[in-house]
Amino acid sequence: MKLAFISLFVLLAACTAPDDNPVLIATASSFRPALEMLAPALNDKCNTNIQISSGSTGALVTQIRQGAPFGLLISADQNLSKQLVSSSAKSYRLNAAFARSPMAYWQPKPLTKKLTIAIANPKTAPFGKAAMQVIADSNPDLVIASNAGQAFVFVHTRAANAGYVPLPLLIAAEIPDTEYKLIDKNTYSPIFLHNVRLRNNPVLDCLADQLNATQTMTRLAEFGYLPP
Amino acid sequence: MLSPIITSLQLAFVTTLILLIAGVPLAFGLSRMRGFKRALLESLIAIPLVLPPTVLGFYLLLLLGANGPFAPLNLVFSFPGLVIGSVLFSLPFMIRPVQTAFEAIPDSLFEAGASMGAGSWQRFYLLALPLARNGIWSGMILSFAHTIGEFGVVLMIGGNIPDKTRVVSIAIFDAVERLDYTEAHILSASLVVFSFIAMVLVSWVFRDRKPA
Repeated sequence: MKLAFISLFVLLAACTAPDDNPVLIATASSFRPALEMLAPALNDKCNTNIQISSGSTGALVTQIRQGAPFGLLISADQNLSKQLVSSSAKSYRLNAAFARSPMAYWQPKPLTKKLTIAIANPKTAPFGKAAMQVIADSNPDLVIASNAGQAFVFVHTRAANAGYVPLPLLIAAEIPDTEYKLIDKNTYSPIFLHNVRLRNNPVLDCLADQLNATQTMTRLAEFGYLPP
Repeated sequence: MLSPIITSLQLAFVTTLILLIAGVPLAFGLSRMRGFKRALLESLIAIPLVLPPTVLGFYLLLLLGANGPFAPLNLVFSFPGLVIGSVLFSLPFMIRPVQTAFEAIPDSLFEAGASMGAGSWQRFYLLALPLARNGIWSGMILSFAHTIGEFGVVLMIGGNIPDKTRVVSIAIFDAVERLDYTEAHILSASLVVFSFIAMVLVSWVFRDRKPA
């Protein structure tokens, strides 16, 4: 038994992850499906292997401030990105926005019980802030998710019967357009996606440039993204 | 899908090994201790049982993070950082059963050992350890299982870094957010089966082995 335990330990300790020039990208959760779609092309163009970690922009910025080993941040909150760049002594580079993300109100089924609306956390997620601007003075029952992706899951699992979610997530999940309506873009602060290069590295420069390339925007349009 | 499982198993093995090396002598010391000092130390070790994991994670993040006193060690968002968090969080799961096993050994046995010339190290190694083996096995299984199921501490100090800190519980959370319910189901079901086996093992350790 002891021998089996030790052998298993040695075996597990020897299991190391493949390390074929990986780059860690932290992305706003709303952009994750699109980034996964873009990843093969980005890997080919920049000769790398993207690994993705997603969350609300606010949570990711906090992790970066605490030393998380990300190479690139894809953020949906320009103010937060500017604060990150200006408050750090490191050579972060804030790049121009490459897309604008629309927001939709998603209610999969007609209401049969009290309305509960899922939104991302307005304190950490730009889609949460945008949702609060749209909701304004009305006072619905809100379910606060940690990020836009989780707000989407709350509605998808019917934990909430409606939600303000990023349009690209609805398109990525092939939700019928009869279930949602696009929110007038003039009723909330625009949500621009942009990247922040967190390390000085040619591969990261390549990825940042590719995200801002015209052909990337063309592909992102499939997910409902608009030009910035 | 395999990578989080390997990371979780590696974390649980390393944590259990460290707890075995450090926790058993500590539990023995506690079992021989009396008075206020013992109550203080026991309470300190037991805190993770009642404390939300995010509290421990938050303070570890401040200590190990970029502005903390241990920042130069680069422990946050790394596997060694996860090990530190897991050892602290799983400490009571090792100490409690092992301490109880040591306390069940009658003092007269130690006195007999001493009268036959056994020093304190010999009494620990030749008497206490073999007699407390059931408690040690139980502590190891519980620590291992508890580390595998950890979420809050890992999320706070490990983030969600693929191949490094993305353990099974984080991978489930991640899969749900990606609407990948198949992966979430497979990983969750694996944890249910694993937890059940761990509990069966704990029961088996105490049932099939005769009390010391």
